Amino acid sequence: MESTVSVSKGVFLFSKGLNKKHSQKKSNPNLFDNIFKKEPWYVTYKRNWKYIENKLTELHCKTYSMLLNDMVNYINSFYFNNETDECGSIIPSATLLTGVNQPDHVSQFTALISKIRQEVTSHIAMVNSQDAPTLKHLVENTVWQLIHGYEALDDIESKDSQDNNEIKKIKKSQCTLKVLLKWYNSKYITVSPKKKKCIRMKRSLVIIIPDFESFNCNVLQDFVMIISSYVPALPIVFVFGVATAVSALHKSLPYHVSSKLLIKVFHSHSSPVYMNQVLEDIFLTHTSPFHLSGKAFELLTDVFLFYDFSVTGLVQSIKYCMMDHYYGDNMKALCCERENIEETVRNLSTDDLESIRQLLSFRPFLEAQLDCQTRINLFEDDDFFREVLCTEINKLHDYMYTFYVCVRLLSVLVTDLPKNVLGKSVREIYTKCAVECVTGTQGFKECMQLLNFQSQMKLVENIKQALKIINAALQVVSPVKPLRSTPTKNNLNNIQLSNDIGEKFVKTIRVHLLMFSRQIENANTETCILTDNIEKGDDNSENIPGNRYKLKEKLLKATRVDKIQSEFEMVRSRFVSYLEEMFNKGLQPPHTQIFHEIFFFSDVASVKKHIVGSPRGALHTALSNPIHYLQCSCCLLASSESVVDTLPDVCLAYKLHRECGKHINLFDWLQAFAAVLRPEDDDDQRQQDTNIHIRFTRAVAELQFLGFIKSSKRKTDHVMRLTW
Amino acid sequence: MPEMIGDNVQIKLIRKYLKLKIVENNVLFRNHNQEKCHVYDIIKRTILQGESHSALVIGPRGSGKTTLINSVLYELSKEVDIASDAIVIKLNGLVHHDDKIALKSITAQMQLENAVGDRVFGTFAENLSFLLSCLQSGADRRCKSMVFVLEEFDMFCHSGRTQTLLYNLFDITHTKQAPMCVLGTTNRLDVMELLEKRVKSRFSHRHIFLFSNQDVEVDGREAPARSPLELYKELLVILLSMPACIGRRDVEETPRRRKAKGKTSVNIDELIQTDDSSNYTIPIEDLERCKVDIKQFRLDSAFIADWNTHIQALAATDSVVDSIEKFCYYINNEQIFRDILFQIVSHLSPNKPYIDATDVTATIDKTVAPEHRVKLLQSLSILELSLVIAMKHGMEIFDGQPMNFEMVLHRYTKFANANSSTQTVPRPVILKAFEHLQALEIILPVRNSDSIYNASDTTASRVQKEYKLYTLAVPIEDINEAVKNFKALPTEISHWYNNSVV
Amino acid sequence: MEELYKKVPCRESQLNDLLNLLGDYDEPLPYSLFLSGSMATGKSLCIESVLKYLGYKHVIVDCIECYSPKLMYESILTELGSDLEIKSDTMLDLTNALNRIGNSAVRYEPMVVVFDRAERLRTMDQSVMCAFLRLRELCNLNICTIFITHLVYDNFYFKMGVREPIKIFFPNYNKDELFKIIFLHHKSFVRHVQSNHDIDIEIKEELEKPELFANFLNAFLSVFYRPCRDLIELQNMARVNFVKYCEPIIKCEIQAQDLSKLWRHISPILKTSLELLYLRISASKSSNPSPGKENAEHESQCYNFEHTLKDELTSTKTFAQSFELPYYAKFLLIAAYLASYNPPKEDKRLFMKNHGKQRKRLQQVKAKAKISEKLNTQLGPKVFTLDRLLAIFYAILEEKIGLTSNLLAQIATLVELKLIAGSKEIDLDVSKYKCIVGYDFISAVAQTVGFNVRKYLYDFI
Repeated sequence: MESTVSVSKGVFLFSKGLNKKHSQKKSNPNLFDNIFKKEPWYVTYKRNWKYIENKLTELHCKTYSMLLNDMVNYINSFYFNNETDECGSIIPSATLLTGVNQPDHVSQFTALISKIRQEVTSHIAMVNSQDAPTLKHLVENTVWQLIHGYEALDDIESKDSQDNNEIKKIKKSQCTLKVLLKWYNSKYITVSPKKKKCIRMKRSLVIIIPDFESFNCNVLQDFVMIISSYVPALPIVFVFGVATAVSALHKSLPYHVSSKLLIKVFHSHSSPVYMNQVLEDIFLTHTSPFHLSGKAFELLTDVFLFYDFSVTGLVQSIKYCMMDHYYGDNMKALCCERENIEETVRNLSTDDLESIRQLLSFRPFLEAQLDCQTRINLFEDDDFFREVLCTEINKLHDYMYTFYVCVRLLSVLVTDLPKNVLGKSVREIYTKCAVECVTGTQGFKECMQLLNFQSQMKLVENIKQALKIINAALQVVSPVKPLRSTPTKNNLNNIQLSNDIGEKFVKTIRVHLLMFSRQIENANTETCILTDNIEKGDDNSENIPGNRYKLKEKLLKATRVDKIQSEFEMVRSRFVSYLEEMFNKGLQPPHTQIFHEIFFFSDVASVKKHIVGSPRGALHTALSNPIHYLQCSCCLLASSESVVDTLPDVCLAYKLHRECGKHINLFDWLQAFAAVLRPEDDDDQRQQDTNIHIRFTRAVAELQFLGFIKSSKRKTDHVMRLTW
Repeated sequence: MPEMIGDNVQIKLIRKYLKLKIVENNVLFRNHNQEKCHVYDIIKRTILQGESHSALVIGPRGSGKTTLINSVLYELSKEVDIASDAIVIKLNGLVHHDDKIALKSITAQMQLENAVGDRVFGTFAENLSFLLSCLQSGADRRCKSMVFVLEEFDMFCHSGRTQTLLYNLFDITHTKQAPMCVLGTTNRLDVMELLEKRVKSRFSHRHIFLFSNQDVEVDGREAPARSPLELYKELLVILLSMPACIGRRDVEETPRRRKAKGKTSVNIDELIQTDDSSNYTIPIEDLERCKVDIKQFRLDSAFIADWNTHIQALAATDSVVDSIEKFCYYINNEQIFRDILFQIVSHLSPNKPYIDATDVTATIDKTVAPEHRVKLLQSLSILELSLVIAMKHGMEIFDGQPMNFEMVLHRYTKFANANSSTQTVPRPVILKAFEHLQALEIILPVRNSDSIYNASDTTASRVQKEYKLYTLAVPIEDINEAVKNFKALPTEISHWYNNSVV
Repeated sequence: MEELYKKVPCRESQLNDLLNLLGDYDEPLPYSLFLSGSMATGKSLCIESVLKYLGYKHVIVDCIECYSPKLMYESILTELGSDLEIKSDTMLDLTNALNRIGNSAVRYEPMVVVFDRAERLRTMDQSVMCAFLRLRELCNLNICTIFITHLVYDNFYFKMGVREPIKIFFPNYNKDELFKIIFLHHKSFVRHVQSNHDIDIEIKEELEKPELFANFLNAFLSVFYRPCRDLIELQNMARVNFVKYCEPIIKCEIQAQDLSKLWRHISPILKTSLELLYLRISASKSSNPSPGKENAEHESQCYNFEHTLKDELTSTKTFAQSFELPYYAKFLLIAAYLASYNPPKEDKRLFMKNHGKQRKRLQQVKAKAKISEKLNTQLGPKVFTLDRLLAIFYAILEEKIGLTSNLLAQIATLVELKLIAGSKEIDLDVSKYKCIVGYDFISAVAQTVGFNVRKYLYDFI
């Protein structure tokens, strides 16, 4: 609930859909576990999700650490050096610009609070707008939290109890700042320095206002004024969470209030950046146990970029996908780490295997098998199939490993190209690669050409970047081995990409890249002049858009025919062609792989309506085509327009009302309604039938309740349509 | 020995004595004699003959309504002892406007808390009658007579709620259940309109008007019509001069002598007191109330004498007379006059032993025409002032219809661009200045949102403050005044101000 | 006495008045005083120090803090009467309690009740303030009520007159006084500089030279005195700028004696920091970088923010760019803006492909042109209904998207962010909204999505 408190209503709605599943898991975990404890898929799911969660939290800490440190330092900086005396009645206030993604704020502030607790003070009050409709509430909440926040911490520190229980007496209703002042003095000023109180004399009080915009300005203004009159006595620091920008502060605090503040601004990460980080570091790696197919991934990112910049929302929806992926399907238990593939395979029951055999991607593999014996074995002999499965899954892992490495490589090489065709960030490139075989696309070709024009040092440093990535990737798998004997010059001309994928493949790439980088570096010396002026040619020709192709022709000619072509360019073009080859190998889209269904979640349609809820759409389908939800045989419709008397009354009324204009005459409506129900008998009979009247009235009432119609003042016997 | 006392101490004593006399007096009452007599015998008859009466004393602020009643009671206390056979109950509209509270304090003043205990009553009437019955159960079956003094009478007849208290009180006086006199004081002439019909019908329409500027005649006989000016001059003298008696007579004598005098000749000696010695004294009751002991004022008579002459002289000074006249013309309110005197007296000190005329004139001027608003305007910064001017112009152009910040800014920027010498400040700073003006209520929002938290005023969030409409809350004359003698006002601004339509 | 004057500089006359009026311990107090004067003119300081000096029994009530009369009464009593456990809901209880206190006291001792920010008393019941004005009469004690406010007495309208208080006005400090007062804080300024930089001794001595500071102040006031006379504000700005003033000296670029050079150094800085006046952005750079090595680039980012901060505040354009909205949210915002600044009857012509007759429009424009100050964009936004908003939204949005809950959520979010004013509940027929962002803001937003607002604004066609 807490997460949805400060969140705008819609996101609240939106996260509800998936809260349903895991909230009930939260509510009574033992029961939920009891149901599925045996189920392998559930076990794997839990294990993987825990893994992801841990990754998330640590990433989270990493991103916020810097910011938090700054803020904490700032807060610390006051009231300990003797600046207070001249500060007068000015309140130091740290203003944290949290972007507009309100769902994420909660985590930020919890992090902040915990940090402050550790490093600065235990007296923290965080008051949300809806806890403080009036000044009274605001003051009471704040003071109460300040006093009892100390309490909460104190129990841990196991302080002497008599001052505790005298604090306990303070009821929320009688919390005023006077009380706070008295308490503070009794606690810090007059208290005899016993235990370590003398050390932490004068702890400052921190008041956090996480959602500044949604506060009532008047309340806030008064609050600031009050506090300002106490600042000389109490070391109070404000922390404002502002979603939009600093000037929001000045928008809602007039002169005489803002003159009481000393504002220091802190900028938190912009959420898109943060999202990219999350995706790249956690989900778009071969280490991530669960993968999204291009489509699904696109959907999620679109939701993020177009609707709400909420990372938590994104993560939640990914989680939802994951649940949907695993739910009640044992073969998904295979979707796990390398090391425990074998035993999972061993544990698979026969029908699990059967269901695996049903997988679409199994078909081509089957056809690939030449001798019919193996085919039969694949069907008949479970153990054989198990082995095959193991190998294939391992292959799949290798594949993913190379795939992601290649994606990263590509992104590195591509990012700083002009008018980025494939997009800048890893996730964009990932979507491209995951949807289709990227090497076939126009964009990829363009990029390669552009690479072909790239200057020397750029190329070198790009390769260096790429190497860095590869090393990183290799370290994940195995400690990187010392450089093997660098291939000699002579085998330059025939670089063969070995057919194996996975680690070895990457290693070979590494070797080759090293080689290329060295060559390019060497190449520059003798032909710098030439390369330079050619590059100039490239540059200014590049500036003219459109003629890139004939330029390319020219260059190809140059590479082929001309003697003057520098060594560097030769190497470069070779490098580029190598890249093309390499990527073509490494970047096969997932859906070409066998058993990709196990790892790649691709069922977009099913999750879409959960993740992007469209209430009105749902309502419409429910009313115009109830069978979609009721699954009943009775009201089977020829078309969505047609009406049957077996339909529920509401649906009937709804269908009828859709034919009317803005104003609906109730009587006509009733007539039509009756006509459908009693096609055989004539009007006056229908008139008598109170039964129909009642049903009709109820239907109308329900429609009104659903907000489709409302009674209009002007015409008593008419109702207004509110939708169209 | 009196002679030994240094002047410093004497001055201090005088200062204290005068302060006491000015502030604390509420039993000495001058002028308005027949009204006084009127009230006097109403109460007297209530107490002695046990009749029932009700009356309203109506007069402007500071015309001494309360003092009148107090003095009457004070004098009565000298001939009949009120304490034994009457109960005086004072209610103040500011405090007791709620019936329950009123009843509570009535019970308290009747000293009947223990009688009532925690008994619950259905209606107000029951409760009141119970109180009365308690009183009646005295020695013989006749009730003590009661005097109700309702100050700020108009506050009791609050619109909306029923005027239960008034109804019951007047009802008792009307159907003479118990001897009771209800005196109301108010400064609202239209007070009768506020009363409910049933209340009005039970009220004996006895109004006693106090108008400080009406001609008063010293107790009916010789009638020299006196202008307020003379009244105030006399008041000045009376309040500022010291009683000779303190110095002269032996201090222990004073109270006894006054007692004796009081016994023999009745209040008359208060009214036509020509012997100033007691006319200048503070009645002993006040001193007792203030826990001040008369003995401490041991001054030597010579000093007092020449102090008094000094005061006489002061009163005679025509600059003083002029300013008093001015005062009468503008304000004419005794309380305020007392305040003025208080301020004057408070300036006395050992190194300033005398009041000189300039003090009087200065203080009176300060009170009569404070011009704080002009001062406020002058203490604005140039930027803020020019915003005010811009607003003034704007309202002149759009004949006085309210403006929002955008419009004001528009005019101001026009001006600022016109002459380059003014430093340009960015928009938010100007907005802040504008808000400053609002905080000082030099400009007021159109939908008057003095009271925050009322539901209508969601403006803070609903309307951007740039678009909130404001009107100029200071009169144009003040602005003129302020601009005319504004210290170090840049010429271009005064120029801009003067040729208005830009 | 002397230290009193030292404590409250440049307020001799007011202090004298107060001292005289409050008089000696055994003298009666006046009924009530009324201190008025603009902010930061030392009203509260004066009265507090005087009362401390005289040692009277007194209580200072902050009227904002006492949101209910009950609180106020009780706080008064807790300060004046020592006895604990006071319940006082009504004025009656207050007066009774006060009387009890007074009777218990042997002497006729003076008591003072100070109401700070007295303007708030007006929001309470009329009778409260009236009663306080004649508190002395209601409970016959030697008690005096003092009201401190930044409003002049005429702003306190009472239905019928009250017992007038004695008024004392506190004028603003003039330039010299400001100079004097700020100069008193010289030490703290120097300390402030030292807290920001580490300085070696002889330069430290240089900085402590009063004439250096004096020169700085002269330069400073010459710029700032014109737009601002608020002491606190000035002090704050001075502190910020003095650091800048000293920087070249600390860096040994300019000799502390070389005043003209210093002046040339500081004057542009003053000019720029004039734009930050009232905005209270502490320009001090973010405190020492924390041990977060991988965030080095973020560190630098921080500094850039610091630089852009000023123009972010001063021009709404950069304010708009300073934070990004989701794509559709931007369009929703634009739609809201159009909806609230266009007359509804114009929608058809503005947003339909085939818009109506031109001729009529032209003369309308002429009609509008006369009163340029009455443009919609100057009169402020009008309210609009949800369906109008959505209609415009779909009209200006190229691609077709479904009306999903996320979309509706965005409206709520915008309301939450105070970019649109209105009810958060999405209700089809009743809820009314209003766009509360300025023109240049919206145009900046529109730029980012490549949308031309002017084309759709009624005022500009």
